[in-house]
Parts: sequence; structure tokens; C-alpha cells
Amino acid sequence: MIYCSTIIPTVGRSSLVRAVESVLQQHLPDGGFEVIVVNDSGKPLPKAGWQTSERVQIINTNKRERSVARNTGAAAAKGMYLHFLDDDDWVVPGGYQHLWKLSQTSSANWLYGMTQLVNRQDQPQIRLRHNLHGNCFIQVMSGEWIPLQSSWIERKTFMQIGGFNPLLAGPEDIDLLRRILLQHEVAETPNLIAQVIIGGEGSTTDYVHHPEASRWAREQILNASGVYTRMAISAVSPSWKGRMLRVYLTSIIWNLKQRRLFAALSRAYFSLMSLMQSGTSLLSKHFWAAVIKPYASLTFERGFQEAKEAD
Amino acid sequence: MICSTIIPTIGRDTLSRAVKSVLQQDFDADEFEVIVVNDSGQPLPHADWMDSKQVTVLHTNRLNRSVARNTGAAIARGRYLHFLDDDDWMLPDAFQHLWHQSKVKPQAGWVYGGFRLVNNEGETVKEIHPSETGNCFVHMLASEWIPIQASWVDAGIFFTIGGFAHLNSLEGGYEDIDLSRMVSRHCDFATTAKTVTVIRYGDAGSTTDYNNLLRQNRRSREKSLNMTGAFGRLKASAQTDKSHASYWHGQIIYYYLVSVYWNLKQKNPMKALSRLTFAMLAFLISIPHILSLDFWRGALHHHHNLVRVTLADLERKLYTKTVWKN
Repeated sequence: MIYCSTIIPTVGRSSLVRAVESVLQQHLPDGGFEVIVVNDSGKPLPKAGWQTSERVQIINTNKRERSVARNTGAAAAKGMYLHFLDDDDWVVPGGYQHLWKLSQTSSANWLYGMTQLVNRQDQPQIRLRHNLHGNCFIQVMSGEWIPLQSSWIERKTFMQIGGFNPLLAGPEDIDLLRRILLQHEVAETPNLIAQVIIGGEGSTTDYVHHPEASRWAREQILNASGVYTRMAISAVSPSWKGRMLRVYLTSIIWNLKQRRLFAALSRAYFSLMSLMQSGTSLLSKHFWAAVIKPYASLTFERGFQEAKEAD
Repeated sequence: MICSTIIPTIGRDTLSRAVKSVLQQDFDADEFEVIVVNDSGQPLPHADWMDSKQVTVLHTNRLNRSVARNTGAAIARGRYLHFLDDDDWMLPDAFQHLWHQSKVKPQAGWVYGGFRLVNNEGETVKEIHPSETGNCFVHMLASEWIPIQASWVDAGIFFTIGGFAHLNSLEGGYEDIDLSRMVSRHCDFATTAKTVTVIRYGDAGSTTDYNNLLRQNRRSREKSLNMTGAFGRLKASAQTDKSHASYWHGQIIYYYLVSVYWNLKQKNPMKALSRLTFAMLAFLISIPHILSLDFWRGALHHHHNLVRVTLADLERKLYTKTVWKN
């Protein structure tokens, strides 16, 4: 039985070897794992030692962008969990064992650990500890994010929700997390799983269209049924209740700008609902601070704080 | 490369007939390929066509048709994508006819030909030649059926709309009509008068979940009406066939009103209100047609597509397992 399928879409970067080998060096107590390299570069990959491994399968897609390449890899996967790695990132030794241990005790559909961000010169930057558990829908709707590179996603769940949205290049990872959290939960292991390269240079992410695509993707989710209830359950403190109101208020503005009058009206209705259901939170200054201020990621704040303390 | 044929299979023994009918096309071998997506979860029995350089076999892990087809499309290299099923087959010269038509109408995103429906015994039930050309968005919304088996779909537009709809929005069975709706929102159709494909018709041994179709149709229609610019495109498509313009203007109103009702039932009052506004707008632009009987026929009744009309008496015999209810 295959326990985990690692899917690595590649545009032919030379760092692919490091990514694949970091996975092949992992050990899992029971069940094996497989690596599916999806070569989306449109050219054959240069010969490498890892290609002879029995665990590895290569699929050649025809320059179809990341989401399509990842969905293609996922369609061929057999594992109980899916792990999406990029060709410039890598898994730390023992990373899979931590996720495996977590999978033994948790029934969550998205398992994850810590991420070390690294710049293009391979210098470590900050470390991400997310502190997100169970239903954290309002947190991810506000802007929290869990890197795919440090996550195992249950394959059945991934297929049920239809995989990555092929129309999104850039925010497709956060979109997937939100759609999974709409019905399912996450669980965290306090261990480092992956090293992830950051920085726009040489990246395949479309940063120019990113904010607009993000907005559009978030609006699609707000259109789904059951969103309000799911968000309300996850918003337990005054500040998260404030965030929830802010999600709907900002959506009114966006829809008005897009001249979607009825969608704006519907959001206004939910804003009012969320205001009325906030109860005593309305007296808290944290509530109003959350309504007024744009979201600053707590994970990144924590990361920067720790980095400063370490200096 | 001009065309990639993608054949998802659940391991039916008719697969060889399907693959060979494509490989035997009178077409330059460099210009087309066959991608067999084996979704059966088991290895395929060896066949001689597997040795062909034009054939790629890909294995997916028992998902559904949409995922298997999208997976095949992702590795395809052709300018056009052609989706065939493992129990259907192409007629000789089909590719020549489609290729010729695609050169006549280079701006068309969907080129198709006529099709022959056969029953499980292989006996011809009927030969059908749809006439949709140009902007046919309202025709597609009204569930006209242009089989993907008889069509070449532009690969660029296929990926622009995100390929076949996935499980979360459609549960399989209506994905082909849904695709034709999405494509017709963006670009035009072109047709050749020749018959190109033979399609097995009926629900015996089919992988389509016919009982689910009505619900899926509704969801797909909602998706179409939600697209940006849908109203403008619908309005223009009612004019495509000038002799039936009144009828199609009526149909636009009909489908907006159906959506009002559906959204009220789903407790989406704002969406219902939005649809009602568009229904009224559609009525306003239809004023020149309101004296026509055709207009009211369109506005008050749902559309019967060409295949249903042609096969009216035969349908019951072909669909013995299906309960036609919501």
C-alpha cells in the first residue's frame, strides 16, 4: 500500500534533483511512498540518477501551468495522502515521519508542520509556525496560509473537492486550503517539515495578477453555501468576529466596483447578520480594531519576532 | 500537431476498436496522436496499437471521466482536443472533414460533424446533424447536445475555461454539455455536413449516471448564467438563426425565470432578484417579438433538443434503467 504520493511539478529547474532526493531519503514505518514528477517544461528532463528509482514516475504535460500539472499528478497518484512539493523546495530529513505520526492520531484531512523559508541564496529567513487547528476557516479567510510543501492532504478529500482550481495561477494553494476547510479540518505537528524558497525572482507565480485573482477566488468561496455558519463557528474571539465582519464589508466594496449589485446586497445582509450575532464582542476594542485594520499574518509576525530574538 | 484524441477507458474490450478507428484516419501521422487514459485501476491487456508511436497510455487511479479526460488533455500536444469514449468510434475521413472545416472557420473554438447513434447491438438508431454554428450560447443553455466525440475543441479555449468541470460542481454525466456551454460563452462553433462519429446510445452498460442528470443540468446552467458577460452573449446568440430569433428571445426569458424559481428554492433571494432583473431586461429587448407566437412558445416551455425530438419514440426503449425524475 502506498501511504503518501509526492507530486512535484517542474519547469525544468536544476534544483529538481535536490527536491526529489530529499523525498527519496525519507522513511515511513508502514506503507511506502511514491514520487510523481510532472514535467511541464515542454522539453525532456536531463538524465539523472533518481529517474531509475522504482518509486519515481514521470509525466510530461504540455506547458499547462502549475494547477493543471498538479491535478494531473494527483490523478495518477495512489497514496492515501498527497504531498505537493515544488522543484526548488525540499523536505528535511525525518519530515515524513513527523507527518506520519500525526496521521496515526489525527483524523484531520490536512496535516502539516513547520516551514523554514529560505531566500534564493539559500540563506534561512524566518520559520513559520502556524498554530492553526481544526476548523480555522475564518483565519484562512482573513489571510492565514499553510504552505503545501509542509502539508499532507488526504487524497480522497482532494478529489472530492475537485483538486486545484485550474483557473488560478498564484493563489491556488490558499484557495485549496479554504475549500478544504469549508468542510474539513487541519492538524499540526510542531516539527519542521520543509524548506521553501521565497522571492519573486525566478518564481513561476504570477505576482501581477495575484491580488485580483485572490479576490476573485475568495468571492467564489463566499458564494458557496454554508460559508457563513462555518465562519461563525471558527470565529470564537472578539477579534475574529471583527475579522468576519470585515470579510463581508470588503466584499461589498469589491462587488460594487464590479457592478454586481445583488451580490453586494447579499454581502450587506450577511454583514448585518454577523454584526448582530457578535453580541458582547461589540464592546471589545479588539473587535473594532479587526474591522478597521487590514489583516497582518500572525504567523509571519511570530516568525519575525523569533528571528529578532535569535539575533 | 493538429489534433490529440483522448480516450478515457474503464477497460471495456471495445477500446481497441476506438483506438484503431483513430489511428486509421487518413491524416499525416505527425499531425495527430492518441492518448488512452486507463482509469480502470488495472493494467490493460496488451494490444498491437500500444506499439504505435502515436499512442500514449496514461494511468489514473479510478477517479471519474472528467478527471481522466482533463489528465489526458494536460499531456496533449495538439491544437485541437478530441475526446472519444472507449465504446464509440470514428468513421474513415472524419479528421479530413473536421480539419477542412477548421480551416474554413479558423476563428471557431469548436468544430464538429454529424453523428450516428447505434444501440448496444451496433444497429443504427439514427443519424443526426445538428445545425448550431457561430454564437450558439442560448442553444447550448437550452441543452442542445453536440457530442464531444464528434468534435474538435480548441486546446487554448479548453484550458482558458479550466477544462471539464470537476466533481465538486458536477457529479459526472453532464460534463460534456457543461463544456459546450462554457466554450460557447467564449467562442463560435462551426460544423461540417459530414457524419464523423458512431456513438453507442442508451443506458445499458453506460458509465453516465442518468438519474442525476436533471440536477446537474441545473447546476451547470446556473454556472453559465453566472459567467461575466453571459447576458450580452445570450442576447447576441438569439440573433444567430434569424428565422427563429423570436423563439430564442423567448428562451432567454424562460431560462432566467427558471433560475429565479430555483434560486428561491435554494434560499438565495438576492440571486433570484438578480435573475429576475435580467429576465425583465430580456423582456424589454424582446419587445419587437412579443406579437410572435414563437416568442411565447420559447418563453413558456423548455426546449426539446434535436436528439430528443428525433428519438422521441425510441427514448423509452433505450433508457430502460432510468427513472426520469429529479
